[in-house]
Amino acid sequence: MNNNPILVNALRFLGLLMLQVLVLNEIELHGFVNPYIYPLFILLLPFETPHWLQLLLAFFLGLMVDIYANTIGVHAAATVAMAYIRPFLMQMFRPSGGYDNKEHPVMFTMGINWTIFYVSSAVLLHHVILFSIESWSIVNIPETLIKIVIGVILSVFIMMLYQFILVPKQ
Amino acid sequence: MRNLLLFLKRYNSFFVFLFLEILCAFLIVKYNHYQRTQFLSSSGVLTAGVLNVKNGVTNYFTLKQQNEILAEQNAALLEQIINSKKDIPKQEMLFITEPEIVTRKKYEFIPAKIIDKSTHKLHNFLTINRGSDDGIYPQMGVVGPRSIAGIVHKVSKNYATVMSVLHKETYISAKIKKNNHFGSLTWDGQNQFIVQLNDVPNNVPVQKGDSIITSGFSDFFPEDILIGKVEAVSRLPGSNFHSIEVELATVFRNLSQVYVIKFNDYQEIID
Repeated sequence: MNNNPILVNALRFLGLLMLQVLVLNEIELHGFVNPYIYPLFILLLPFETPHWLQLLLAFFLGLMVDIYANTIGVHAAATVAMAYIRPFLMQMFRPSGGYDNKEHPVMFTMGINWTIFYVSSAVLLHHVILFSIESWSIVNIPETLIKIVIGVILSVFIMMLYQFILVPKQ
Repeated sequence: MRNLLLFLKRYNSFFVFLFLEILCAFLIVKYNHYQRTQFLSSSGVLTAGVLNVKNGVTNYFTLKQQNEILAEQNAALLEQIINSKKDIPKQEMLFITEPEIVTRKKYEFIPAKIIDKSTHKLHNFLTINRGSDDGIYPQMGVVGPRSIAGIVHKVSKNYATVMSVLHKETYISAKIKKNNHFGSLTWDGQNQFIVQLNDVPNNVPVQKGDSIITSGFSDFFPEDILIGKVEAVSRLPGSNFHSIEVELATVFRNLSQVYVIKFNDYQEIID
């Protein structure tokens, strides 16, 4: 397995984007909500990635998803917000020993509990922003809330599945 | 000055964040709220190319279903041809010569394939594989094998995006078949099988199961194309209008073949 972080992340960027656009965007459960996996790219970036770079990557990733979904700016806004709070989440869920000698916030090194807390709080923020912008009004709040809850459950499930299967155990 | 620079340096990520979010807000307002998807929409050459390849694969999964729908439509058309021939008395037919019928053709149908679509959003679009090279221009009506599908929105050289009936800002003029009362058809964004017929006064009798058809008032669709059947009628307190739910005849989830309607008198009417 090649350990060059730039190459690994570039491939992950493309892979997750294509997975989202070509496969997951086709899943429409009861015409209601579909799961999102592409935010996982931001969540799996190495710990020492500069914050501004995370934000820029989030913006471009979101914009690419937007272009395919005809919703320019919506996914980008949600993903940038998620990338912005990522360091604060890491601070919040900081394990007692800190993040010493760990490079990647992946399930294999961080453990399953930490990963579930970390991924689901980030995805919750992402989905709240995404669906609020999409509904663009305060009229159908109950529908939006249901969409958010179901969406978060689905997306987190798929992201955990991805980590189980496809993230290399270094 | 030094302090200012230090301040900017310390909070650099916050400013990047702020800048990007403002940029996003600008993009959302420009491209989504006013639906001006000029440059980056899925009729763009790059994205449409990818979608075309994807469609080449996914098409096979629904072939059987598509065949059944098209066969059903063929049968209905054959039935219409045979019945309409019977209706015209022999004497009248003598006066209509063949070329005249051809030149007076009011509508033409351009077949197109859907290469991308969505049904679960509030503003749903279809992308079709015909563009300005095939004579498509914005504001043309699009029908599926069973019923109406949407209105052409943006056109590029080889592709076009279509505002689906399931789009919150699509308005279609419709009427009730049995008594010719008009209303406007909109979608409330909740259920992809149900649309709403508005502006029908309370004194008009409407029942569950009545057919709803296009009115021919708008330039998009010819008269008398089936839209759907009335699913539920209720009376809103304090309102003079019925609240009518219409079950669409088009099932957007397995829609794949559509026809763009070319209205030959369009130019004359808008001039």
